Amino acid sequence: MSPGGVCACPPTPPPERHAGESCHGSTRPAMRGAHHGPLHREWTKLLFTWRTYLIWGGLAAIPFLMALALYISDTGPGPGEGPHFMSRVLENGLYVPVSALAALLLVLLPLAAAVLGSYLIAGEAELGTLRAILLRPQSRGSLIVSKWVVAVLTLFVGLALVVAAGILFGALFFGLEPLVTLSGTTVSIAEGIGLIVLTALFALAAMACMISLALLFSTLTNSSLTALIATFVVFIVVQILVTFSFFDWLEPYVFSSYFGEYMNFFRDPIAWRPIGEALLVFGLWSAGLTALAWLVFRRKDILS
Amino acid sequence: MTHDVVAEQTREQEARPERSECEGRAAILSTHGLVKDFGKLRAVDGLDMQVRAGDIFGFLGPNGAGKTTVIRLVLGLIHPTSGHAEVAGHRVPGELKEALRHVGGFVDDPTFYPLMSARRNLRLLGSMTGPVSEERIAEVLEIVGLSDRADSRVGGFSHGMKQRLGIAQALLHAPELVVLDEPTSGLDPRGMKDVRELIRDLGRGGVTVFLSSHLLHEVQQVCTRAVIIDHGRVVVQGSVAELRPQGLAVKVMTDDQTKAGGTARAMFGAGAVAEDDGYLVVQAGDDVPELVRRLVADDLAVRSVVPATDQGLEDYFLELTARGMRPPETEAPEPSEQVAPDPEVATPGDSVPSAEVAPPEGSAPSAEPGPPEDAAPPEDVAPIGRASPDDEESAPPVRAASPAPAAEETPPASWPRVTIVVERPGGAGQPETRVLRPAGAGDGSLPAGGDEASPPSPADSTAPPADRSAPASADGAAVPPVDRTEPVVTDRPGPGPTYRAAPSSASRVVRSPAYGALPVSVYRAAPGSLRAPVASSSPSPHSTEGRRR
Repeated sequence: MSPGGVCACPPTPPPERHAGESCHGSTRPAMRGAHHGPLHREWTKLLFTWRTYLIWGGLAAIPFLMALALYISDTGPGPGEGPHFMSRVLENGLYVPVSALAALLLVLLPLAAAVLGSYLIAGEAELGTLRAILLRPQSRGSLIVSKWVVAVLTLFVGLALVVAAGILFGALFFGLEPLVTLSGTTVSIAEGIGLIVLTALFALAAMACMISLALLFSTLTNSSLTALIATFVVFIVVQILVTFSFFDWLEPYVFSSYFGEYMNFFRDPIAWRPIGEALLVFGLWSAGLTALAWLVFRRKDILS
Repeated sequence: MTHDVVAEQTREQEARPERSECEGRAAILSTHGLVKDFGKLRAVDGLDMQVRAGDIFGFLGPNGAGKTTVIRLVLGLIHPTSGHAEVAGHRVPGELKEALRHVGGFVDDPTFYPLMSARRNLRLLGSMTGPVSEERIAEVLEIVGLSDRADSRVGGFSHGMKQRLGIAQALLHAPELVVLDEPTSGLDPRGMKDVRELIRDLGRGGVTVFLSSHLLHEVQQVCTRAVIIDHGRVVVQGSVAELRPQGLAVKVMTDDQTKAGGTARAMFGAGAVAEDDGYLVVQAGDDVPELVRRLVADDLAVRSVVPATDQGLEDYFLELTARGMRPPETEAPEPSEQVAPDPEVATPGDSVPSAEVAPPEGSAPSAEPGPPEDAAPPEDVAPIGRASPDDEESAPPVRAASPAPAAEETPPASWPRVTIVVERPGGAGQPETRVLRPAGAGDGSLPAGGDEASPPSPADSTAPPADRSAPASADGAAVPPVDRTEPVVTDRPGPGPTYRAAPSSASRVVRSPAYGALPVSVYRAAPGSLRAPVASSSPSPHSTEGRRR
């Protein structure tokens, strides 16, 4: 911090003014450099957290461990037991990613989404960096949207790892066969992989709701753990509630009721209608919760 | 860099003629009736301040004064309950994004992403304001002396290094206004010096620096203008030269301190001489040369004469922030009106024209300024007097020779501590204070502790007057002649306790006919501080901690 560092700077001639240019320091020619958008920044931040790699590693490990366990024991769950399609894994490795997705969608994927979502704002508040980034001329709205997008992107990478690892280890342990749909028809391996990718994307849309819910709680508290717990409590309470017939009326409005609609991809022909309905519900919930989070965050006093 | 900043600055001013002018220079940052409530707590209470372009502006206040809250308000991190700020001609809230383009800085401690390198952190944060070149990042890292650690993870940085990196990110875009929240905290002496020199350099380059600090000497060394806030209100605002107490004390070291003390007392009075760590602290005012001459004449070997600056500033700061204890001006002004004509309020004398009267700290009525009924009727007003701190411990201060009033009474347990400041007329307006207690107050014979909540009751007044200092007469005739060596306390008689502040702890400025236009501020100290027995003239009564928060 030698003061000479300041004085030693050679006096550069004042830059020429350009019409419409604001005149603060960053517009000097010397300032010209790489300009990253908010998505790039948020992505960089995620890449510089251990949590992200834990989630990715965990998601990639699941299909491997599942395939390994089934391969070693050589006895799958009977039909109707365990996650969907699990009973068919022994005959066809292509069912590894499908059953992995089916298993993950119950708890682990929502958990990963809730972790990612709840860290978005509260995690930065805990770190103290929230006030640092809000001292920069960026709108809070763009911050929250880019954070949401990047969290979804992170899960996208995670789901891609599940699908890739599932297909890889399914092929290694059991070999890939043409996929038999729920309707009893057979589709080619390539078409089967296509269906699996669609299932993963469907899961991503479902998880976007979880991210939005966690994001909302993340703006309401300064503790990411509190946000995570709140998200999961709400998620589980709603899941339990809809099992009671008294709360049947609630079911169509709850996004978690639609998590199982990916099954319709494995009908022949694909039943697009329930899938479309599910995606509509996911979209409405994601948009609504994110908008709510933005409303909270927009006026929030940053005291962290 | 600084040269560029000058250019930026000039162009900026030309470009923004709409900015409010303040004494010829544009205000780059101003607040207008800024109020912020956190629940019931009013953290910022109608704050009006102005930072002019080119200032190195010191933002002073004790812990909990609302400094950081104000910075957060000004930079849009929190939303004001009412009022607004204006940063570089942009209203906050409202045009926050535009305003932030002209600002760099940090609030509280600077924070970074721990797993990223310093360079990457700067790249990331900088890109939020605009494009940043790698050269510029290297440049600011060089300025703050972090070049060799540029590629280390910030997580491994020490607090001081993060502080430096915080300054680096503030300077990244060469903003016109740099807001630094206690930038030297956690730095070693070398680092502090570097940061201060850096701030001075920035100032020379025309950058406006808003420096929040609770270190007075730092502000004194670095800043051109300053504001002192307490409880979210401006206590005083002006140039640092104005803020500095004028009659600075000097610390004297001779080969015979006892003898030197005698000489100094003979010159300035006992009240103007104190001891500190082997030094004599003499309130010599402008008479330092004369003091040295006399010391030499007395065959004393003067080893050193140094200004006791910190001490003077600290006292001053404590005094100012104590003044900030007053509640809003809604308090009843009657007491001051009654005092105003009283010639006794000010004791003439030019050596120690101010006094602080401290009744025993036996109790405190309540932490909040209560309704007037809470305390004894405020017809009477605290007495004014002067005494040396030395006197407090050893002997009761000499009182004005005046008959005891009929209604003399024991100081009630709820006596508030009263601070009376007489500002030097024509002087720099730098009030000095002395802590003064009524006779017997210092030996623990007065009620102490336990009765914090009890307001004075009639029963209190039945206590023997002996416990009380000698009362002064009701009329002003009893004012003793000016005496530099004799501490004088004058009491006014009254039905209530003699030493009583306004029940609301309102501060009043009293104009005394006997001493010209002599403003006298009377205020009550924190009730919290009353619980401890009076110990000395230490500044503790002014302690502002824990009063409202």
